[in-house]
Amino acid sequence: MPLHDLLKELNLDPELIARDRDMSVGLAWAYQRSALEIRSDEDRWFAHMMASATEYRRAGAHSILLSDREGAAKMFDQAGGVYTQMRRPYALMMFWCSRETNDVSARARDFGSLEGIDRNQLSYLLLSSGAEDEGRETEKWEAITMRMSGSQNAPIGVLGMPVGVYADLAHTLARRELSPSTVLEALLPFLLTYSTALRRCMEDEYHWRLLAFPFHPAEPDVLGVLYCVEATLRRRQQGSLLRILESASLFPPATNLLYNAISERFHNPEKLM
Amino acid sequence: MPDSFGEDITFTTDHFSTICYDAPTVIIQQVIKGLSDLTDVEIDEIFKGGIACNWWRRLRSLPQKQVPDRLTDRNLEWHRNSFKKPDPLQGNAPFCDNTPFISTSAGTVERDVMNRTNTLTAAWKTALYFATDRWTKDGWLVYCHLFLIGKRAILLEAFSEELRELNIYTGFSPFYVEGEITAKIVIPTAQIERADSWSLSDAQTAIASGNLPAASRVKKNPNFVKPDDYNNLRSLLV
Repeated sequence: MPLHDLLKELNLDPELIARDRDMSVGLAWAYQRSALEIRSDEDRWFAHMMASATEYRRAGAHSILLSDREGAAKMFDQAGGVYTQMRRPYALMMFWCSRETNDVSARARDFGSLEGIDRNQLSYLLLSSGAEDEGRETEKWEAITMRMSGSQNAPIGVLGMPVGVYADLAHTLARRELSPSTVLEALLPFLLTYSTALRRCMEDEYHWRLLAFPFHPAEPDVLGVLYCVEATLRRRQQGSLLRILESASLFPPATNLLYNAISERFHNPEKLM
Repeated sequence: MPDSFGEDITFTTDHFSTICYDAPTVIIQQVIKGLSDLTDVEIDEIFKGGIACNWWRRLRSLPQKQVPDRLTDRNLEWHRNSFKKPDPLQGNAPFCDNTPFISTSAGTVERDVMNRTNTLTAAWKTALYFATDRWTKDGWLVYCHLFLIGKRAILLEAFSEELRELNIYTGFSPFYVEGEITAKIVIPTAQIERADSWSLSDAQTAIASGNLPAASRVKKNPNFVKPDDYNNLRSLLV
């Protein structure tokens, strides 16, 4: 079932989501244009760029809920572009939501040296690097791992995931052979955090229906990670997250949302068993 | 010198040391309250009497003696997480009908929070979302100044609660509206700076042309007292 058709079941209003998406798209563009008139060393430039990326990101997540794959890809690509301009490798999580693996790897290499990149942001570079099959720059991989070693418990992202769970997943993906159990073990922190957040937010019916919280039902922080893993599994012909999700015993609406978001992203017509 | 109980009070340095506390730093925070379905006359009424909580507005007069029983941790949690749920302590009426709290938006204030979450949502956008009833009608953004002390002080009406500080570990939470600051009982008129009238169609036209939207009309509150007039900042005379 397309995600769009699940919205009523999830007590979400497609019309509200579509209206809010239109507003986010417009604001994202307006903030981006406005930043062009500000010097990039000013705090205001940072704030306008961050607001622009946030709105593109929100528009992308809304598009996923509306089963608008093309719209989602366009919005996440724009968000990734803005984060890249700010030298934030979080951009790669946006690109995992919009592009093919080779493109994401190329964008990761665009960051060049690690100079000027916030230590916690390296998690996203490491994860994308772990997903590569060949051509991984060993020296860079080690340099990132070393720089991240002191901040394994630092929370990052909307869900406050510890930096260490990104490193664990990156090291899992870097192995040549991936089994469903090792993938599930590395993904569990993401899946359980998402599942818990969804359950808590859904209990607060008023704010849930209005989507009035920083967390999103199609949370790009989680979907970016899952898309990265699914793309890797498919490319290496080592299974699919769809099967793994079925055995993960999450909050049922969480499984439903993730399953359909992955199916639609990879044009997979499979149904949740 | 006898006090009202007939006891002598000696004004010594020691005595003052027992009754004077190290005052926490009071932060004066600008916030925005989004309001919908209000006429100019009703905005003028707000400029006279302030923004009252739903509990006070429903009863029309404030039962002052009940205030301490209303300003509780439990009610603050209900205000944030169960806003429209039936409240068993109020005959199962929706909690929002009797809330002593007032939600406002301050947006993301700290750069550290933006750095960790990778997101920034402007306060005016969050407030406008509510003011326009989710982008369906015109609305008002009321700019106010609230007092914060950087810690929980639920019983103290004068100080607002800063949501992001409640999550002491991460400094942010996925469950709450970003940058929400909760006032109590009433936002006094002296702390209300102005009310901006926003036309939804004007805002939509602006962003369709790639411009940030702006208010179509501004009403200044004649009773507003500028923070500069009462805070402790000493500026240079020359």
